[in-house]
Amino acid sequence: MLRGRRTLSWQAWLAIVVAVVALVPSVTIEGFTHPLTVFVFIKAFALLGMLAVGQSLVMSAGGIDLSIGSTFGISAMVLAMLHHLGYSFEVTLFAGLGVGIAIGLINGLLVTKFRFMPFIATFAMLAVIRAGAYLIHYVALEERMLSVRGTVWTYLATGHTALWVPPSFLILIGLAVVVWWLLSRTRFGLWAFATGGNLNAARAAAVPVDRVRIITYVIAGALAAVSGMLNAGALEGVRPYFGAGMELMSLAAVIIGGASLAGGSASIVGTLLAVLLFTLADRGLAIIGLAPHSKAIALGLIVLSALIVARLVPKGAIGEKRVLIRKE
Amino acid sequence: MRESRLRAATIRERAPLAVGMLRNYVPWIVLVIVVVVFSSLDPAFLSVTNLMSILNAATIGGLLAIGLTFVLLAGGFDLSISSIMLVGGMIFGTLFINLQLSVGAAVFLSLAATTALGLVNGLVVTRVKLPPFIATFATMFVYTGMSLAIGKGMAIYFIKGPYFTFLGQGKLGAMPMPAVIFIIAAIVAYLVLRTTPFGRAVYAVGGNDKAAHMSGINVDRVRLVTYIISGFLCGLGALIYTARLEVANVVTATLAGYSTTLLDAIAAVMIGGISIFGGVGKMYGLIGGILLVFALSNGMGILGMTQAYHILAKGLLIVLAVGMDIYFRSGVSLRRLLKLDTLKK
Amino acid sequence: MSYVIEMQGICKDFSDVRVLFSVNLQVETGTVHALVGENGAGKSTLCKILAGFFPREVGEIVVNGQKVGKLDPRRAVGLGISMIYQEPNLAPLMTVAENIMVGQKLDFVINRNQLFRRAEEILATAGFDVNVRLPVSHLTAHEKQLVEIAKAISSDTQVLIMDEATAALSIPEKEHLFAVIRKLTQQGIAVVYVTHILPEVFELADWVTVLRNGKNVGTRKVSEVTPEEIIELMVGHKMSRATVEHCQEESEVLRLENVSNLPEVRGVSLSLCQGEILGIGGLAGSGQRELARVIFGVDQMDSGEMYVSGEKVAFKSPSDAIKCGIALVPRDRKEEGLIPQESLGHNIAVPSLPTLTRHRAILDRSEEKAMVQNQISRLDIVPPISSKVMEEFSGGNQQKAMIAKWLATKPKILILDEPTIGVDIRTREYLYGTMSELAKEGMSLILMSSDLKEILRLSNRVLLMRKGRFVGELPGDTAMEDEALRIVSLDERE
Repeated sequence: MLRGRRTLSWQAWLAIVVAVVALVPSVTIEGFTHPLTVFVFIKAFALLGMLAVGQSLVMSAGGIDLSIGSTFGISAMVLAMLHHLGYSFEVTLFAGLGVGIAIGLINGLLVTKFRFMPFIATFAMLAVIRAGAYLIHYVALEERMLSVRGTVWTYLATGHTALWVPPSFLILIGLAVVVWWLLSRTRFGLWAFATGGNLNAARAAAVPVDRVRIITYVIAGALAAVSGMLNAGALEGVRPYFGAGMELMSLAAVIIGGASLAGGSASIVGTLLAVLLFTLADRGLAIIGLAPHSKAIALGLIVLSALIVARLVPKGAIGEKRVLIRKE
Repeated sequence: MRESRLRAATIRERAPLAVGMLRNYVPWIVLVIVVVVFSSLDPAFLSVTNLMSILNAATIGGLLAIGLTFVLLAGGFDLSISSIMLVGGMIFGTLFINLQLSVGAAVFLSLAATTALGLVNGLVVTRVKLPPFIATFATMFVYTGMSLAIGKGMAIYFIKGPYFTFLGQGKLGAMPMPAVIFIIAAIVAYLVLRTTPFGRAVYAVGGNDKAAHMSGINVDRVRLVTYIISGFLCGLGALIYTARLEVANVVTATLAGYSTTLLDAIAAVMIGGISIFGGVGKMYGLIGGILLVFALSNGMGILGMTQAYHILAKGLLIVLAVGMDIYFRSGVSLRRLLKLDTLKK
Repeated sequence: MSYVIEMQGICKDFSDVRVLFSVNLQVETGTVHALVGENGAGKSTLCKILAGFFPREVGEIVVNGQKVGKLDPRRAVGLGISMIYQEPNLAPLMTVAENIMVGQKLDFVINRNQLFRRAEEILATAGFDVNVRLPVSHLTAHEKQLVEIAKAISSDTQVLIMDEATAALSIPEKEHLFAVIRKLTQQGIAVVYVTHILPEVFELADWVTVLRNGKNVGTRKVSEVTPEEIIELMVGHKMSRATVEHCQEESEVLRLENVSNLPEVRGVSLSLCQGEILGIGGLAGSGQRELARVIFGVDQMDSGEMYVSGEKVAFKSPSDAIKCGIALVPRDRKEEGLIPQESLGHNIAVPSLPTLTRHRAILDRSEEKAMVQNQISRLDIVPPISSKVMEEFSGGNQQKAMIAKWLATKPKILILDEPTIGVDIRTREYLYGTMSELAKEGMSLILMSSDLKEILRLSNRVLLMRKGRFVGELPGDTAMEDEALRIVSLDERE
């Protein structure tokens, strides 16, 4: 079930850590297991999770996408704008997806055809897209802080379903499963990992490396757009700075989830576990009543230590049984 | 040698105009354009008060930029500079106001603290070997949190002291003190980079760390020191900020969720010709970059342009700078410069 | 008797240096065709052209009677030409099965078990058994090689090119590889086998082609030729014998006793006298570079002792070695020698920064300027502009600058690792002259090179290295070239 894993039990260890981090506050803190808290937590998890899943896909093919946070933001602005022009949910859905796909396409082209380094290309897009979001806010919306509450998006983000989780969570799980399936059960996934693992070998093996990479960026962009619109549905007013910083969180999640920085390996399960970890930490600290400052320190420390551990643990540390070559 | 060659006479010190040197002139050229444009749109731009205001704003961001320059030249990166600045301000405020320490002691201790934070950054990058971008992203969080923790989430006001306030608001002749300090810092930085073995080592490490190591330079130590310098300068910037505005803030102005101070420093450094890859860049380019960024902000403010345009402009500056960086590093000769070339990796 | 591959009149230039002169090569179906020659003879280049890695400018390639147009690695694989490089070309984090199957025609949806099974089948037809579920990074070098061979076979290879395949193998692994190769030929696949180890040619190959200085100087049937004849072709003249003369012990500046840095350096002992030029020769990959790095303190030795001028030393970093008067001009100047964006003057001054510092803090700029100018004129660096950026100088001048930078530290021992690589002939001669003069002035030099002719010409004494050990010693005489080649190629020890 796990894909191109670094060590057999990296994700297992991660799961244990997450379980501990989930259990300790549940037992010790009042109100941690209160349904409302859990609900809020799941909402947050779904949003960051979508971004992280997209990032996993991009990183598996050896790339990196720093623009998804800005895509998250601009899609919300586009949604707000269209909603108040009176367009229906379907239109906003397609428009938002379109924006995400377009951004992903540009990213992919910059990396493949123009040979920009992914880091630089998506970093530039991060700035440009964010500026675009602000432009919409100031120019098109004339600084009004519009709300998209009461739309289908609100329901999707915060509604209650029979399973007691918001639809956004189900959407996330569904999308995660699809991406997981793509990576581990299709030739596309094989191509993606080959591209990330050894670009030259992949080329020589007739893998369409350019096409593969562009598709990863497109999917990441689309996921970010959907996540952004869901987020907009959940909040009171849409602001242009939504999503800032989330691209780095998604990056940290993918790395802690067991992916290799160089590409060629990524684990959806691991990534989601890492997102779980971050969200738990965030919510847990908020519940305790730690003021924002302490929360920030703690969160930063958790991310930092997790990264250090991810860095220092040697790959393939846990011994596996190896079958030696048998001569014929 | 075999024949006595009197080549010494023909060895020239000045290089012919290399394309790479353009990167240090670009900020000045753009600065001139910007000044011309803005002053034609609103003559008040060139008034003495306005120019002084630009200089004042440029000082604090400029100090951070100088520190960032050292880090970048040695091949690193530092996202936590504005957070360190916050901690410095908060520590000073707490020591001076709440604990009633003397100005001297408070100044000394807050500078020591920010320098120590820079040291921590350096250790995480050189000992733990985390990539600088990720490492300082994490420490940025931690330091921001620290600054909030120290002040319990509240800013400290009414920070005034006899010598201290002079630092931020006084004048030396016609020059405001902050500008004086900035100029001194810039000169010292210039001298360090140009005349000390450490300065050379910084360029060597950023240019090719393997070669530097094989030439006997202690690469880790050089990088560590650049982070320490950055920490110190952030502390200095914090003190000037606090002295000028008489307040120690908990959070810097933000734009798009990122700190403006950070964005301005990065934009200034990069458009100032300092390469993101390390090993390339000169102080005079940096100064141009600093002046450009703050003149731009100032001008856009005067014209009443909204936040969106600020980000757009700075974002474009950064993109232009990075493109310029990649282009210049791809080794184009003057002849090829005139032909169109797709930007290569 | 049909040729699966014919290369006709292949020429190749790198910048303005010609490396292949109208080379012809014919490979019969189902045979092992060995390609031998000294370093720099052009073997690798020829193979890379065949595999589509380098563009072919002049000459024709004919595959199964059909002329081939423009070639790139993908097209070459499509035509049935696969090459296995010394560095495995696999994605390390993916499993063996995935690496093998990536090149296959696949449906959109793949079944993992099916993937594993198909991969196992392919490996089975190739005749070996590697656990297909392991990530490639867990495999040994030999196992990776086998996976690459399997990958090649599965894409209907007709010709498999192997470049120095046994470099990283133990004896049993080597035997296994040979068995595999024999099986391949039985299946009708031809193998072009590049090597410099002559015993392998006689063990494995049907035909052998010798390249010398970019020319095909002879193709022979292996059963009809002797090793001596092959060496004669490689070297160009008849063999001769001689004895070595050692230097005096009293002026010994460097001594190594049983120094090891496994696996590349194994139990090396040597002694260097003042004013001596000691050559350390051997074909590429024998461990010379690693030995130089150990002496200079870049890598640490696992065992053994080192003495500088009689005093025991243990270097933890290059700066320790520099303080003892040792300098190393590394072989890869782009990676380890130059600071490309810095000026010539700055590059030259770097190792000397401590000595140019006054009052612990400031550089003495005028002394630096004088030193730089001195070095520029001494080594005749062109153009003599000390503020010109390093990367704008030609290869030859860059190399001179590298040497200048170390000469400025006034070392007692100067180690030069392949100093004439990528350097034009004029500069090469100039450097040779410089080295002789330095030795006359009392400096001790250690010269590492895979160019046997060059090293025999320059050195007083040459130690020959193979697989991390010294296997022979010769006087510095170019007439010894064939003897040297014999020692490094035919040595049977493991």
